Amino acid sequence: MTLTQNDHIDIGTLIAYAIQPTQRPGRSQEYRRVLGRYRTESDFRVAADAVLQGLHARALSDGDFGLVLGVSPESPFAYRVGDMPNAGHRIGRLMAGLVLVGVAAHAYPTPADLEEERIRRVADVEFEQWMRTMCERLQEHDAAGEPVPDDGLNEAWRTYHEMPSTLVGDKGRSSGRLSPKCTLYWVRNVLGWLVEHGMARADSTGGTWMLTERFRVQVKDMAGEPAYTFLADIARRPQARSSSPTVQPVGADDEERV
Amino acid sequence: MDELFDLAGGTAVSRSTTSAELSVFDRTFPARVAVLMRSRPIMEAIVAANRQDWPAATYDVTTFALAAIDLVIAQQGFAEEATYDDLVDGLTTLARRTAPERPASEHRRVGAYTVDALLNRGEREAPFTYRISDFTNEAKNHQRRQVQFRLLIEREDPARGEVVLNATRDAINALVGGLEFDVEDEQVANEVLLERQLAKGAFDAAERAAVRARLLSVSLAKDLHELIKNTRRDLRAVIQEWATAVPQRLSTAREHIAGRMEAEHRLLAKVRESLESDDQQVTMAAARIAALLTECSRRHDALHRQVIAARSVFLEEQDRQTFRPPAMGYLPDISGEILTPLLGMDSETALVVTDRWLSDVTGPRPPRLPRLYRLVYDLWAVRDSTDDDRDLDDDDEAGDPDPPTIGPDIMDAARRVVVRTGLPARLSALLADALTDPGLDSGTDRQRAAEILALAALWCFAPEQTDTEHTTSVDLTTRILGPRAVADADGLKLNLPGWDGDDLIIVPHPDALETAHPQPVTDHPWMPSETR
Repeated sequence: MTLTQNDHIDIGTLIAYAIQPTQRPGRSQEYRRVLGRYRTESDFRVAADAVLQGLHARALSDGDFGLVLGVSPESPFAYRVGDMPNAGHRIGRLMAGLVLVGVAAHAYPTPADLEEERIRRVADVEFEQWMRTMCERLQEHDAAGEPVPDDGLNEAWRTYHEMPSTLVGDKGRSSGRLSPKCTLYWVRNVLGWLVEHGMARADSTGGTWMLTERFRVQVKDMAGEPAYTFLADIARRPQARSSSPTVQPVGADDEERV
Repeated sequence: MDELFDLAGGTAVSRSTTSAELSVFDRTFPARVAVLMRSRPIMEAIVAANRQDWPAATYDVTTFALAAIDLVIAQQGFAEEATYDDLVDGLTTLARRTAPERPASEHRRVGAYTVDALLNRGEREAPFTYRISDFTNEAKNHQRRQVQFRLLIEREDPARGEVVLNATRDAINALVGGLEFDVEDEQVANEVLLERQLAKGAFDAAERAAVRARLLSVSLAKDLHELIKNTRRDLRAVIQEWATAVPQRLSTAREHIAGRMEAEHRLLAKVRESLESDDQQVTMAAARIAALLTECSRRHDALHRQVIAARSVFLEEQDRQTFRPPAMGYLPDISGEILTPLLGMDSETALVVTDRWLSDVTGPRPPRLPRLYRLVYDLWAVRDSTDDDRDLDDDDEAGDPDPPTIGPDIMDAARRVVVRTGLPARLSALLADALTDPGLDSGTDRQRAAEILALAALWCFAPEQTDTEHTTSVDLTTRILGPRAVADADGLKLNLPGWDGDDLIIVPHPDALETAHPQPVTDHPWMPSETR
């Protein structure tokens, strides 16, 4: 079967919907129609996948939540760190990144959780405390008598740990608001940002976010592996950075997974 | 006392002709004799002390005995009641002060001797038993009656697992309160007890004990809460704890609760009785302590519920998390294999990972292509002063500006407009109101509030046709127009400068649509040049 001009238009329409993360097939008949073609017509699917490949993107999921795309960093659609609001500063970038990884780790405590379609709730204050505990564990490690190498003072957890949980601005336009110099600000900022990207919804009760299926799919299919590979790579290097010996994966996890 | 003996003795016979007037025939008379008997064990102890191996007339056993009872009373009903050793320690100190030149072992023997006497240890702690005469029956015959009582009793404290001493109501009424009280009266004993405790400042200790116990309850509850939360999240992370420390922690919590509840119950009952007291100092202190105790008791109830539920949470989660489907292919363990190592890295390396993670998680983002009119508009627009936290944002990358985020004051203003105008309303009425809102200072803010309203209305009218990139969403619409709002068009065009399209009718719920005929607004009291 040869694809007609209309088919190509449909492919374009499908991709146009797919690159807008807050679009849902449930809300749009047109989206449902082109997504249905992608699911059922193999020619259409092959052609759409080819176009996506040219855009350095691939379909991660084509379920009821829409066509979820994963994009490589080369893609024109790729999100860049500079696009993240308020994350231009190095500390801001690091905080946003740590919190983002933390949200995923908190929501999907085991690999199997990444497979399970279930709404995960993240309460901002509770999560903030959980992250703090994670950091404190690393600190306790030092306090146990292990020598702290000089460049270890630059460890990522310290960035989080040294920030207060809450700090409310007292002057100027930031008066009465959480300041970016506190961790709760970053937790809310990142969760709010996930909402903008269709990966979370704010719970009506306030203070709690529900992570959407899209977030699970993205974490499972895109983010987990490259990060893991990178980290495993560092851990394997014989002359690993002085701070990485503390970086052993938790031993108990390996047993559990068998 | 002499007076009592006089009455009981033969003087009445000489004064009165009829035996009916002798007070000894009065119904209350045997009780008065019985009261006097309460001090007899102490008198006997004084006598017996002369036969001990310390020099006679060195130690005042009467004072020691009353001091011992006071010591017991000061702690009675509180968390830490006095033990036998506490009492002996206290009396040993007194003995040392009395006769500093005597050996310390003797001081201790004197203390123990006094406490033993009060406990009647010589008779294996049997109640003191004395016989008195009773002439109060109808025939005024002589009868023997037995008076039986204890002064101190030993009791096991369930919370501490220690044996503690309590003073009986006989001891309190007769020896502490004075001989004028009815020894049988529990209520009187309680008031005397409380009064003594207040006078000695012992309630401070009680309050401190209660506050300490409350702190412990709070921290136990916090630990338990944490454990349950982590169990629900990931059983593996806490399974070791469940196997080792948790049973102990749960049983500690249970013991703590049981002990405290018992103590609080006891103390509260006592304190409540004292609320009726005539002494204002007593009632005030009692009220304060009652409030504290009630709060503690509430906390313990909550903690108790948590302890009871803890095990079932564990079992439930074990089931749920065990029978989870196995992971397909290789999926990393984000917590153990990514987050923990990441936190331990130096920030520069961590940034490499987090930056990549950020862009991978985000998925596609449609590139925004600049259009000239849009660019000019953006350059003209005054930066929203409510756009917070620009401090960290000094080195923003060049390129498209961030989409304008909606400040909370704009949202509030939009909501205010809806409330003020009232639904049903025409979009034009809402816009006109927003553009003249006195609550917003700048024209830009007013314009924004109007735009938000228009977007919310559009969303209600046709959700999928709106630009969903960053502003419109169900949440936003709900916040501004209410959860069930709908919009419809009747072909009437929006007649406001700077706006076009249908002048939508917005109603608070779908049923209101048929009957709604709001009026459009076409005049424009604001200055168009100011806003555009």
